[in-house]
Amino acid sequence: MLNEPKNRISEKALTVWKIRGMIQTGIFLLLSIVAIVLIFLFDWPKWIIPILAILFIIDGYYSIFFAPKLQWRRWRYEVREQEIELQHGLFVVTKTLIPMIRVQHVDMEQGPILKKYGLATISISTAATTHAIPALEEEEAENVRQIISQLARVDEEDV
Amino acid sequence: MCEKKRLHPVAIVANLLKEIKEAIFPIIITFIISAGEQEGALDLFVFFVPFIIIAFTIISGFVRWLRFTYRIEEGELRIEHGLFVRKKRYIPFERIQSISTSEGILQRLFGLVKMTIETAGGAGETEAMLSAISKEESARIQSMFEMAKAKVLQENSMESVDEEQSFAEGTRPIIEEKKELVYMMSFKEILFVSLTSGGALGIIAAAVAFLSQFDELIPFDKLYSEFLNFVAHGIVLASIVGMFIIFVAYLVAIIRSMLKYSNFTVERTDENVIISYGLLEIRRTTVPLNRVQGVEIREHFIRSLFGYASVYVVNAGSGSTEESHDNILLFPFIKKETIAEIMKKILPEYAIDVPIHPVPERAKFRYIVRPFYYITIPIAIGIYFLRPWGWLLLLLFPIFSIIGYISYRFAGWNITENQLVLRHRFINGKTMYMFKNRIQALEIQSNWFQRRKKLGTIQSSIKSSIGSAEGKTVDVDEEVLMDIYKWYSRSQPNEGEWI
Repeated sequence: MLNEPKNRISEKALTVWKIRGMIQTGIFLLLSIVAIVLIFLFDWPKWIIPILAILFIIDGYYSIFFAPKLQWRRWRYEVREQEIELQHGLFVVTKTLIPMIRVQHVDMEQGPILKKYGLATISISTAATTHAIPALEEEEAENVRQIISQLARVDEEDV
Repeated sequence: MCEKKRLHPVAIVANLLKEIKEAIFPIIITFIISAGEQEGALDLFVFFVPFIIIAFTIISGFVRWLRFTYRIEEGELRIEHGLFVRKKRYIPFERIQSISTSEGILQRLFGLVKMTIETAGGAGETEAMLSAISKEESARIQSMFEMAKAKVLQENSMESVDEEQSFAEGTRPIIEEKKELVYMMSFKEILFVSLTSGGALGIIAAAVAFLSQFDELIPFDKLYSEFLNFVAHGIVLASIVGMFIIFVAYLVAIIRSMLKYSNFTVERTDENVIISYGLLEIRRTTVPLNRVQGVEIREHFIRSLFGYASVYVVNAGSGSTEESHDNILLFPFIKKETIAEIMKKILPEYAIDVPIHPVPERAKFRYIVRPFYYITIPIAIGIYFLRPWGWLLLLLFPIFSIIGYISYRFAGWNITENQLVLRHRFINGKTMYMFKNRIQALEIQSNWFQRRKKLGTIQSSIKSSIGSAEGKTVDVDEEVLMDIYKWYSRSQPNEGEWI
């Protein structure tokens, strides 16, 4: 059995994900309205409407309240001298191990919502894969980025 | 060998043919358009456009050829080219992932080869292609590459060697590398691989789909009983013609694949594996052994029934050249029992004959049921729309259970000091052999159901020509997962709870 990685991502991620959930639910709502209009216009079976309503409630609850909380609680990372360890996932819990010497480059990204809350995403690329830490405080993100790019440069094995 | 060299002039023709092939549709379209109206200077202009294009292509092709030079200097292949913008590309030998040559019909007429040099550069980026050089020239570049690489190795090992002297070759006789023939495909094997190749199977699938179209037509009969005879005859006739077309297509696919794989040989030199094959177009790929990222054994569903498998070498090329989108095919069709023995001659570091530890018994049920996740909804939809025959789709459940059971028997893993083997199957089986220092990232996953049974999925990625290749095993015992995780970890994670 293993310990969980030490660090958590920013608590503000919760807010950001909730906003994202709302946007997503909003889009679902719009599409449902379009669908309902079409149902009345073309006389399609009416039973689709309650199904849409139920789906809307489930989706709203899931993506605004349920998923962000659990996601946030699960998300952990740890940058050690020789490797990076990530853990995340809602239903499927994934643990990832990336040795420092495999890291090719580290990117920092900020979308509009993340920027508003002073957060940033870090993505770590190896020659074969890319892994992201979704929401860190800007300062912390910058810090992590620097630490990784320093440590990654230390020694080199062949590709 | 510092002087700049040009390609053989045939390269102009080869490039021209290629460009004409690409431009043929626009040219035909312009002709069709211009044929419509026949008045005014504009039409005349339109009429001449194709000629202008062709003339331009010929001239630009010639200038391009004139501008394209290559040379080997300071352990680098240096290419300069460009029509308007002069481009230089320097490729250090130690960055080369593979050198492959092929001989198209045009090249064969003049005793030339086309040489493609692949580096680990980002996917999609073309690195270097010498589209027509003489065979001697190609052999010379290959051996220069060998020597330069050997020199780099030497330098790395004992650093300060007198630099000028060791590389003042050029006049030095080319050392013929000792080649050892490791594997050769027999005619029977070539025939079999062609019979079961994807192309041929695709045609069979198309045939089935095609014939099922006629079944759909049958209800028509009820509407026109008068027509019945005629339609019935029509169906028979069309079926026969259809069958014939399919048969011919299948035959063509087989012949094409036989031409492609004939003379398939694998040779090994001190540092490279050389794979060559083809009858009309001869292809030859040189893979530096120290660039190999992993070994993959694929067990194609039908071929594995006969005890055969294919072996691939996972190579970190950029994958921009045709044919190398996938990993490099080492043995297209080989008896499973002989793989370990032959691989010992090629890549002795890899232990192919290690025992594969099975996944625990308690995973069996999960394996049998898992295919249902993917097929239940399609089957439900199928039954709904294809009644009454759709009910036959229910038979897919037991069939997929059996496939699941076979997958369960196949799955497994093995770790030794520095080698990880992961084995996975859905319909086709895949066994991946990877070294610890080649694995880019390791991932363990578990969903709620797996956690309840103390199982998890392990996946490890290595670099390949398309970016990444993965080895995977589903439903491994949790303790084994931890062991592999610790094996890969460089800082020994602490003992504790896992989720």
